[in-house]
Amino acid sequence: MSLRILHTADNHIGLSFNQYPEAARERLIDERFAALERLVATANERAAHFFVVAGDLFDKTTVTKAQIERAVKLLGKFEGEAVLVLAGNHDFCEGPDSKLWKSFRSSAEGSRVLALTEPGTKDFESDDYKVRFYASPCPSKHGKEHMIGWVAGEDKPPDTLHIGIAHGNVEGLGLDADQRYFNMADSDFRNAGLHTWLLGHIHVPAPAPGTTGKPLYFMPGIHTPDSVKCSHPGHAWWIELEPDGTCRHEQLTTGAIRFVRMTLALHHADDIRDLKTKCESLDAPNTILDLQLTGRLREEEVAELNAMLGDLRPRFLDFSRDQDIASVLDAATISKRFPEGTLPGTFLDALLEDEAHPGDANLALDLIESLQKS
Amino acid sequence: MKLLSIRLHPFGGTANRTCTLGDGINVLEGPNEFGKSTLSNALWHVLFTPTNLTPANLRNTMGRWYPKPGGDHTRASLQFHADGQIWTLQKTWGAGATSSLQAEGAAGIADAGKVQEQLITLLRRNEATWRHVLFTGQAQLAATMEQLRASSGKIDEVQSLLAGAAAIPGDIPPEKLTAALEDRITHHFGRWDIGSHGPERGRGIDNPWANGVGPLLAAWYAAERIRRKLHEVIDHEKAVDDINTKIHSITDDMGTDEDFVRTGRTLRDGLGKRSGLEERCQRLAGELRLLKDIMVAWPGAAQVIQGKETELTGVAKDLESTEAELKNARKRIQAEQMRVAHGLLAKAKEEWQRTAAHLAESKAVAPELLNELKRLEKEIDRLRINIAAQKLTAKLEIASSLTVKLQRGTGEPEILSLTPSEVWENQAEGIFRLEYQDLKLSVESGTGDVNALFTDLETARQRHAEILLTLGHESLAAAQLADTDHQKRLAEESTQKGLYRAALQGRSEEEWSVDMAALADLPETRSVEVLEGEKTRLLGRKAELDHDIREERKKIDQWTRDHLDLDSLTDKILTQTAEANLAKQELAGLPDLPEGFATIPAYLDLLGKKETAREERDQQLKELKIEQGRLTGAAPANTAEELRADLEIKQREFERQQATGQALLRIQAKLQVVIADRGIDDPMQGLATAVSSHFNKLTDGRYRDVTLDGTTPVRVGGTLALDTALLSQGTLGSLALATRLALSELYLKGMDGFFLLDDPFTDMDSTRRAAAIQAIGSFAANHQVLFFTCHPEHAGELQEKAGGRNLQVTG
Repeated sequence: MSLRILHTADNHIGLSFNQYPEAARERLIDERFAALERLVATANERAAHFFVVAGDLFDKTTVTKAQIERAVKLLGKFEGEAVLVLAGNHDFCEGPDSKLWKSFRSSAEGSRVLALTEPGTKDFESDDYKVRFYASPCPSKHGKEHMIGWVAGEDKPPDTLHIGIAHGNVEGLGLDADQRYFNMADSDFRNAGLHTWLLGHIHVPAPAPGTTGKPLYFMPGIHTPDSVKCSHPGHAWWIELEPDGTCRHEQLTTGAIRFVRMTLALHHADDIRDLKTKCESLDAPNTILDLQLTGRLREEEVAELNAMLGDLRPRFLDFSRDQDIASVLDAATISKRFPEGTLPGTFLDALLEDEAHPGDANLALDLIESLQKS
Repeated sequence: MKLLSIRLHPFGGTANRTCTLGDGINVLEGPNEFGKSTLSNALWHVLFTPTNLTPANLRNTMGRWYPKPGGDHTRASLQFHADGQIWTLQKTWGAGATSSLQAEGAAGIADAGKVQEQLITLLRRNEATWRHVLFTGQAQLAATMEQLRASSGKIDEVQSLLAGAAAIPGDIPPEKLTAALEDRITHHFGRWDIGSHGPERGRGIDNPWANGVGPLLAAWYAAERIRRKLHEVIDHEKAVDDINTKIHSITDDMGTDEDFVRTGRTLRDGLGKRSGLEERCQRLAGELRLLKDIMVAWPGAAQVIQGKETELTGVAKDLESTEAELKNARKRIQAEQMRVAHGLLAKAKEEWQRTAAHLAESKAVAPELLNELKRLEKEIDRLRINIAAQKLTAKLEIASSLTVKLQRGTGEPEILSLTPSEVWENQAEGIFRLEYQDLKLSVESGTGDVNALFTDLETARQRHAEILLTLGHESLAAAQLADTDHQKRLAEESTQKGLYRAALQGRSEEEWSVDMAALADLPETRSVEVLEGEKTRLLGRKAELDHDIREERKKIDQWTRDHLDLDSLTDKILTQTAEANLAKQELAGLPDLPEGFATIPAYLDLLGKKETAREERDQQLKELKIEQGRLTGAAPANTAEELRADLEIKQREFERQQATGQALLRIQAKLQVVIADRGIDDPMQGLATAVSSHFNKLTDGRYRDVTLDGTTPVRVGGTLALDTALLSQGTLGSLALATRLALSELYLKGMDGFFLLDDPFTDMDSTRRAAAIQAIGSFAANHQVLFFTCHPEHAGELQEKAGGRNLQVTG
C-alpha cells in the first residue's frame, strides 16, 4: 500500500495586492484561500494520507487572526491523517512565543492540523504505511545556513519511509546569489539519507513534468499565481510513495486566476489584430492582464488599438497597460502635414535622420502640435 | 502638373460628370449645391487619397462620397500633363478598389502604393504644400476675414489670426519653437540638476521641492520614496532576523545547558554527600593504615633502640681513634714545615756571617774629615777663581838673548829663554813675577789684596794635603769612593743579620735543635683529608643513631600515651575497620561524578556557573522578546517583495522620464542646427518681396513693403507704416491674398501646377475685388488657376478682366 501525500507550499495567504483596484484585490486575496480549499478537496477526493504545506502558508508573520483562523479552518477539512504545516521564511517561527504560530496552534487545537515550527521528527504509522517526517522549519526570514543539517545524524529505522520537509532555496533551481534563503544543495539532501524531500520557497515547480524515478525532492511552486512573475497556473504535487521509496507523482494544476503580462512591439495593423486574438483567447474574468506595449503605428492604427483595448478592458478581472507607442512618423507623413521649407518640416526631417532615436521626431511633433493648438 | 480633365463616376452626388480644364483661369460658377465642393474634393482625393485604406479609415475618409443611397464605392479619373507626358489616373474607393496611373504610350501602374508614390513625384510638392497653400478652400480665405472682423480690436487675436492666414500654414517661427522647446525642457527638468543627476541643491525626499517640480524629479521622488520604504522594510526584516537569531542562539544555549543544569540539580545533594564520604573514607583508610603500621612497629621498637645503641658505641670508639690519628697526621705536617724553616735559618746565619766578614775588611772614613776635605776643595776653587779674575798681560822685549825665571799667578815658576828677535807676550792671574839674576820684578793686579788671596790659597792647599794624608787617600774622590763601599758592606751585614733573626721565629737556636730532635719520633698516619672524611662520617652516623634512638623512644612514649598498649591498639583497629566499611557501603549508593570532571567541586563549580549563566540568559531573553514584540508591532504594512515590485514600476517611470529628458536635449541641439542651417540658405528668401509686390498691387500702391517675422507679416510700409495689427480688415484680407499668391508663386516656380481658389472674393468690396482679379489674372499668366464661385458677377469679372474661361462640363 502506498503512502499518499498532497504537497503544496508558498500559498502566501495575507498578500495584500494593494496595487490593484478593490474588486480585483478582494478576488485575489480570496483566491489564496479558495485555491487552498480546492487542494484540500482534491486531497480528500484522492484519499490522501497527508496534506503537507512546506512553508510560507502565510505571506508574513503579521497576518491577521482572522486570516489564520480561516486558513486553519479550511485545512481542517482535510480528512486524512494529518495536515503538516511547516514554518517557511515568510511565516518563520522565531520561537515558542511566536505570535503567528501560537495563534495558529490555538486555532488548530483539536484538529488534524499540526504546525511544524521546531526541527524534529514526526512519526506516523498505520496498516498502510509507516513514515517519519523530518521537519526543518525556518527560524527567520533570512538565513545563511540551511536548516536540514541535523537530519543526517538521525536514526532511520529501515522499515519506515523517511521524508524531509524543508523550506529554502535549492542551488541550481532558484537564484539566491547572496545565499540568504537557507540555501540547500543536492549533496545536502543526499547526505540526509531520506527517501525524498518536500520543499517550499521557489515559486516554480520541480522536478520537471515527466520526471520519473525517485526524485531527490519536490518543489510544488506557488499554488495559485500571485503576480505577473508567475507564468504558470499554480501547482501542487500529488505523491504516492511505496514502502521501498518508489515514487509516483503527478503535478496538479490548482490556480483559478492568471496573471498575464504581454510585452509586445506593435508596428502595423496585423500586430493589433494578433494582440486582439491573444487577449480574446484569455479567460478574461479570471485574468489580470498587464500589457507592455511599445512600437510605432500610424495614427489611425493607434486609434484602432485604443478602441480595441477600450472594448477589452471591462472584460478582464484587471487590466493595465504601459503603452509607449509612437505614431509612425516618416518623411511622407511629415510632407503631408508641413509644407516644404517650413521649420517644422525641416526640423522633423532632420530628426528622422537620427535612426538611433526614432522617438525624438514624435516628441518634437508633439511639441509642434501643442504649439499649433495654443 | 497641369490638369486636363477630371471625371467623377460616381463621386458624391455626381453619377458621371467630366470637366475639361485649360491654361489660365478656369472658372466654375454655379449656385451652392451645384457641385463645386464635390469637384474640389474629387480633385483632392484623386491626387492624394490612396485606395488601399483600412476599413475604418476608408469609412471616415471616403464614405461620405459614396452615392446615396446604398453606394458602396466612389470613383474619379484625372487626366493631366506632367514631365512632358499626358497621364491618366483613375481611382476607385470602396468595393472594387483600384488605382491606376498610366502615361500615354507607357505601361500603367496598378499598385495603390506605387501609384501614390508616382503621383507625389509628379506633383513635385508635398501634400501639405498642396493642402495648405495651393488649395485655398472656401473657408480658408473668407473665414479668415470673418475671424479678423470678429476679432477687431483684439490685437493678440488679430495677430494670431493673421499669422494663421498669412504665414505658411503649419510653419512656426524659430524663436517660438525654440522658446517652446526650452519651456518644455525647463518644465521637464524642473528642480532637476542635470550636472549632478539629482535634485537641485541636493534636496532629496527628506527636504523635497514643493514647487516647480518637473516630471523627471517627480518620478525620481516617487521612486526614491519607495526605495526608502524598501530599505526601511529590509532594515526591519534584518532587525527581526537579528533578534530572532539571538533568541534562537540563547534558546539553543539554554537548551544545551538546561540538560546539564537539570542533571546537576539532581546530582548536587548526592555529589555533596559523596564528596564528604569520600573524604571520610580516605581519612579512615589513612588512620587505619597508621594504626596497622603502629601495630607492626611497636613490638620491635625496643630491639631497634638496642641495636642502634650498640652501633653507637662502636661509632664512638672509631671516632676516638680516628681523632688521635688525625692529631699525629697534623703533627707530621707541622714537622715538615719546621724542617724547611730550620733549613732556612741555617742558610740565613751563614749569609749573615759572610757579610760580617766582608764588612770587617773595609775601613771607615771619618766623616768630619771627609766633610772638611769637601769644604777645602770648594775654598781652593773659590780662591783660584778670584785670582784668575785679576788677569795681567805682560810683554817682554829684549836686546840680547837671556834666560829668566818667570812665575805667573799661582802657577809654578817657569824658565824662559828670550831672544831679541821675538817678543814674548803672555798673561798671568793676579801676579807676575820675573827673576833675572838679581833682578826680581813683581807686577800685581791693582784691584785687591792679591797676596792675601795667594796666602789663603796656600793655607787651604796645605790643610787639604794633610787630611788626605791622614785618611790615606790621594784625593777627595778616592776618599768618597772608600766611604761609599764601606757603607754598602755595612748595610748588607745589617740585612743578613735581620733575616737571620727573622728565621729564628722568636726562638733560640737551642730550642730549634730540641724540636728538630723530637720530630724523628712521630708515627706514620693516613692523610689528614682521609681522616677528616672518616671523622665527619662517624660524627654523622653518631648523630643519626642518637636521633633514631631518641625518636624511637618518643614513638614508644607517644604510642603508650595514645594507645596504652597493644591490646588497646588492636581494639581500635577493629573499630576503625568497621567504620570504614560502613562508609564505603554508603558511598556505593551515591551518584558517580559525571565524566570529564576531575573532582566533585569542579563539577559543582561549573554547575553553579551554568545556573548563573542561565539566569542571565533568561534576563537577556526577556529583553530580546520585548524588542521582538516592539519590532513586530512596528512591522511595515508592505513586504519587501511588494515594495520591490512597486519600485520596479516607479524606476521604470523614472527611466522613461530620463529618456524623455535626453530626447528633449537632443531635439534642442538638433533644432539649433536646423535653425542655423536655415539662416544660411533660407528657402523662404524672396517671400517678403513677393508678398510686398502683390500687396502693393492689391492696395493700389498704398503699401509697398511687408516685413515678415518668420513667415508672418508683422508690419507694412508705404504711405503709412503700420503694424499689421493696425490694418483695416479689408487691407488685412488683401494682405492674406497677397501672401497666398506669393507662396503659390514660390512653390510653383519653374514647374507646372495649379492654384485652386474657392470663392475668395465673397467679402471683398468691388475696388479690392478688382485689384484681386487683376492680381489673379497676372498669376494665371504663368500658372493654371481653378476658380470656383457661386457669384456670377465674380465669374463675369474674371472672364472679362482676367481672361478667365468657364469650365467645360459634360455629363
